[in-house]
Amino acid sequence: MRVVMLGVFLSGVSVLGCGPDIQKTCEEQIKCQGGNDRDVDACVAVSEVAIDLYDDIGCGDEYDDYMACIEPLAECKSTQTGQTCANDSDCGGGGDQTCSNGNCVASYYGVSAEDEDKCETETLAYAKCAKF
Amino acid sequence: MMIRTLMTSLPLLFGMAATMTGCTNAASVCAMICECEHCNDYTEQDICYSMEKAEARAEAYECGEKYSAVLTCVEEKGTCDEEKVNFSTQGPGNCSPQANGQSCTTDADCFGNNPSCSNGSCMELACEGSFNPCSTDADCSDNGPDLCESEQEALSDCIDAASGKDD
Repeated sequence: MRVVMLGVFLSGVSVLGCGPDIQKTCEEQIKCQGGNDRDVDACVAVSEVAIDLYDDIGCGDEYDDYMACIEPLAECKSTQTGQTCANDSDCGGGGDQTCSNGNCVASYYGVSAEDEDKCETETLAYAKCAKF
Repeated sequence: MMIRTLMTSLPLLFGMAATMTGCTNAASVCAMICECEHCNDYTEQDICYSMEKAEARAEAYECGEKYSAVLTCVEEKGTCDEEKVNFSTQGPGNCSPQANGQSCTTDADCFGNNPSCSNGSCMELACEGSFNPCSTDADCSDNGPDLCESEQEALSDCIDAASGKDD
């Protein structure tokens, strides 16, 4: 299943409370894909840098709107990779895969392809502003 | 594209970070890269942003010192190829005899670029690491080792040790 990986876009969260809730999103992402508290901290730290960037280039509002739209749609998704396995170490994928009932299962935190269109306006506005 | 060039040249630099305010090393490295590669404003912002993210990530894993070591290495050992408009930490290449997998008893048994037989193995002149045929070190300028590899590995090891991810 194709999903939009939130980690890439997970850039902004106003520390003061406006805008996306980075902490919560990072916790959900790491809970889904695996990791510890430091992985959450790293996710938050990188996201805060991104927020600063979007503010600096004058796209803070577009980014906030984009995140506000996409955050509620994000969820943890699992899909079989087609690879068979006996244990987790048989599965690749950079630590996001586990072995379940003899099949490698990849977990992603993101938005399903069928939900992507729901934020098309916000995505286009954000991408246009940031010149992606 | 410039970014792609940089990501090839300095693979691990991207993924760490440096606060614009206060981290002179990162700002300095960013400026060095862009002076060499004639970045436009957008590209320079992108490069600096990537470095900031990398530093923030490293610090979150308490690996800030390792990241600083990478930056220092890049600052000290990075060079600008003005012809290629490319900033890189890649060292000079090495053209030397490399075993080509053939076995032999004499030089006559071997084929390839300037072949010879050494201890039962055929050798031919090739760039270390790539096995591209060569005559001098200058022929291997695209195949030199990354001079900051050890610093980058130390940083990766530090992050891997702190992370709860399996990769």
